[in-house]
Amino acid sequence: MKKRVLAVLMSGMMLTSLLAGCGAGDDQKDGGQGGGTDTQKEQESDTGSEGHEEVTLTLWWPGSGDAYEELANGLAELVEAEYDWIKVDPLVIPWSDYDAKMNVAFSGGTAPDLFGVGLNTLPNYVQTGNLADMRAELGEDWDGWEDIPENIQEYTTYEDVWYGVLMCDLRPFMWRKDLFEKAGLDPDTPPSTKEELMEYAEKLTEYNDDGKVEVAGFQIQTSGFSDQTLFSAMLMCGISDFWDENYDLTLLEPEVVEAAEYCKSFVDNGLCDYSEGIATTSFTEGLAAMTLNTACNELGNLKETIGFDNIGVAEPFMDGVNFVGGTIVCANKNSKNMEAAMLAYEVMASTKGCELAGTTAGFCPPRESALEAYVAQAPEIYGPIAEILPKAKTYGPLNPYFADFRQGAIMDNMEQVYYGKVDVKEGLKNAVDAYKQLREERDANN
Amino acid sequence: MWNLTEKKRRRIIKSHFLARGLVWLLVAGIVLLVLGTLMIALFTSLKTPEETLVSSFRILPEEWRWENYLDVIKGDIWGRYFFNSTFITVVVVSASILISALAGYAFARMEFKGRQPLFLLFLCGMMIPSQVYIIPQYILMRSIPLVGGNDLYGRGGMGFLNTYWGLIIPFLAAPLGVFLIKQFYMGFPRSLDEAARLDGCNSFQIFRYIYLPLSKPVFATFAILKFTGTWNDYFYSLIMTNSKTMYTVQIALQQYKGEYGIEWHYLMAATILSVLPILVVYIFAQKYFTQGIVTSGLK
Amino acid sequence: MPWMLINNYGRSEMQITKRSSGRRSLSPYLYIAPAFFVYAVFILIPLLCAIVFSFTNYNIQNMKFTGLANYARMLGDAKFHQALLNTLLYSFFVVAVNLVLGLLLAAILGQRWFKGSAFCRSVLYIPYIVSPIAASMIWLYLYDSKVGVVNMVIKGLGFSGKSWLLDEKTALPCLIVMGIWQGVGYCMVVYFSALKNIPDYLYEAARIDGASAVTQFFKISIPLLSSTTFFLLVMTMISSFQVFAQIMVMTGGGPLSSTTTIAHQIYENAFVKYSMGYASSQAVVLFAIVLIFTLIFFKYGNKEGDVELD
Repeated sequence: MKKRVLAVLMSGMMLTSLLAGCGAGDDQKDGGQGGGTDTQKEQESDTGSEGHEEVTLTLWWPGSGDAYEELANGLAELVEAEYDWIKVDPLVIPWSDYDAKMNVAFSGGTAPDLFGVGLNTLPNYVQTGNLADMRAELGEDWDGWEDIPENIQEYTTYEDVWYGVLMCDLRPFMWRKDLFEKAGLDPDTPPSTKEELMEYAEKLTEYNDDGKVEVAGFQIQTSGFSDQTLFSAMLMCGISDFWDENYDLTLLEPEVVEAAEYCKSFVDNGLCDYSEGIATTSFTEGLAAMTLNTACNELGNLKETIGFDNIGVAEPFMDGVNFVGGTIVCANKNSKNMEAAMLAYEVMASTKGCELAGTTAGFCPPRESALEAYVAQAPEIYGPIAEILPKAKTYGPLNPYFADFRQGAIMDNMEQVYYGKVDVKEGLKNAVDAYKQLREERDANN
Repeated sequence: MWNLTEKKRRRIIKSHFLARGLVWLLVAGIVLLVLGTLMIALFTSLKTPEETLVSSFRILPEEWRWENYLDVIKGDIWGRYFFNSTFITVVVVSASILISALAGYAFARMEFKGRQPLFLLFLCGMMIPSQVYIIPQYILMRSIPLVGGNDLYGRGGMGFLNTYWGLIIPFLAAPLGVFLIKQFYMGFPRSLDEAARLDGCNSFQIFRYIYLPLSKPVFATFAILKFTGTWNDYFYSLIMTNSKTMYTVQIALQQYKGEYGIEWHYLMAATILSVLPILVVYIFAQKYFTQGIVTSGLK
Repeated sequence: MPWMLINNYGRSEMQITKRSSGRRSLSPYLYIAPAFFVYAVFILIPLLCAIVFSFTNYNIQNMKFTGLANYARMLGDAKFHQALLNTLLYSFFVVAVNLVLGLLLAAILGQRWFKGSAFCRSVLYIPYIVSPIAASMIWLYLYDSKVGVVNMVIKGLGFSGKSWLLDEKTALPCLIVMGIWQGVGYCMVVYFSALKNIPDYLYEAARIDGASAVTQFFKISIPLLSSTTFFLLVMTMISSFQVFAQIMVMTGGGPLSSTTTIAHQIYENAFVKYSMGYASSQAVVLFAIVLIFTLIFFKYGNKEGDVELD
């Protein structure tokens, strides 16, 4: 009997201490890492100016495949070459589980010193209280302020704090020159209005014997992250935000309705069959002739599969209806080695670091000084992308309710629209309602 | 039976063979379907990238590209991944066999308070998806006292995170193993125990010298099941590791599913590589497999 | 809820007392201590934390007690209802087909006249050892609308192909087919071993009485396999109720939520929407459902009491 009481008592104690660990993640971290910082300081003052104690930093980057490995390793090498006392331990983690891994690490107080953050999820990361204010850390005389286009600087600002350099995943307008020729279109001239785009799509769509779409004229994403295609269409219709500064959705604005109708008309006109798998990968797999929704990161693959000879990249399409997302290089405010982390950060965010992002993983480098090396890879392909950069747009001010918007509202409801379950207006209205409800629930909970 | 006419008997035999033939065909069909899916994976792994994307499908590759495998192996530190996975799995399997055998023996042959609810308590652990308790588990692993730079109160360091310990210990709990072994031991005649007891053996000696040597089939069965479960784990291992050198085969496999598209030939090659070790274990242990599963209490 | 089970087991407790070998001592606890310690510390306690989370608004950073708010929210969550329905459908078909087909195959492969039994058993078992992620990749390729084999075969037969995983009517059946592919070998092997354990003299006696092979199967094999069926029922149910990796890799829960499952919703809520508290409450509901089914199976499926899950 006694033993049982003891066992229950023991497990009860463990349970409470674990729960405390989960809930008050921040306190725990300060307690745990505060000690670390102190010893670090002591060591540094001991060694003084003679040199630095060797420090190992961790760097996590989301992605999968060799290109991202190359980028993470390359960044680590750049830092190590600059400072012989800093060692960087890079780790590439598959996108699908990156946020899960980062969040678990945050709540365990073991997050890396430097890490990439997907642009849209930044507010959630900020809420964990772990992100360093990079404007304060880098100081006003950092050379990046002059070098990075204003729009790109603005996109990584949340609640007036700037969180880091955005390695840009830009969506240029691309087309298949060979398919243009086949359809009797001029392979060197892309469409210039949205009506023309539709016309071209009609000419380019190829059907198989069953009358099903074999090659879609224009890549419309009907399931998954359908918000991306919708956003491009919205830009064509003259509206550039999904929500206003209060994070209220603007989906019922006439321009958004027009844009959604426009996207839907591709399905209605038989230019893309929603159940034939028109996905983000269509263009890459040669199953779509034009795209506004293929990341510039994909160009490396496209070079292999389709060949640069067959691909046209438009300069700012319709004067900049291009979406830009990407991965922000962030630093951990609670890092044990803040000084080293900041030195490493500067190297990673330098022209060389940005160049590396452009030449390995295919990000469009955010610094103008890094664009030269980027463009030099293949001027006719990368040149236009560099032109787009200062004009590219993103969804609006960073939204802390982004998951509610994407996974809770827009994805499901646009899918309903494409699958013909509801009409466009109703679908958008449902999305607004769903978002409102989720947002209220979230606010009530916090 | 004897007074059937010759004609009747022949008819019965004929329909008998017909029925057998049909049944045989049916089973062969199912087996072929399964074999087909596996063969397609194998042949895809030997195709060129162009061929994997062509709609005019052929089962056999046009040119057999064994280099795909070399590319995969050379492209990453697969040796390390295989070592990690193998090491973890071997330790987990052997240690969990041991502790499950001890527990199974106690359940099968001893009487003590609270034995009834225990297996169900074990079973309960399998009923909740592990994603919801990964955070407490992670904090627990980080807070193990006196290891990985931790102090007595489990603070300051990384505990068991990113170590083999962290990847091994939680897998040692094996409800299924305890159950299988318990069932197996319950099939042993009690007279065996009694005879040994008369010879002066205590309960541990009975276990050690009588039960253990007879346990090969059930150990083999459990080993296959546990090997599969441990080798195939992905989410837990990904969360608990912080460096590439600690990654396992399953995490490496995930790297071939790109963000924007899939290189089928490499993916399938990596898939086949990742399955090979379990296949080998299965083939070796298969002979005992069917003797090891005793789910019924038939006496 | 283990106390309910104790009541259920009053009978078997008596059996145990009867055949126990006497001496009450510390030693049984020493034997089970290693297994139980590892389980209790590294699985059970984190799991209890999750149950506590379900009554809070835990969002991975902060935690506040909110009572039954999460459970109330579930009542109005249409996506969760859809997930519940999908999970039940998936589990029902996968479990039922795997058990029936597994038993049939085992019975046939166990016949002496069947040539190549060992080979067939190995082939059928292989899908079970392929990791869910790898298996999903293989089936993603098979179901692909352009390069997939399924469409090639269907087109070869003169029908028109389709995007199986992008049609809300076929996506879930596709996953069920894959679930059967993965699990049938396991059921078959377990049944096969159980059939081998049925003593031959029972069949011989029946043969002498003139019973046909089919009659023998229904009158001898099936009743004597009831405990095996029970074991498989519980095990395959537990795993099919948690189907997740396949969904994540192959459909992401779509199209039109037609393939989202409870486990998939749990992951999405926990790590995409950062509502760990809500995800935990869904996990508790999943747990309750599985437990109820297990108890029902205990009550009706284990009448003979010849399997002792204690």
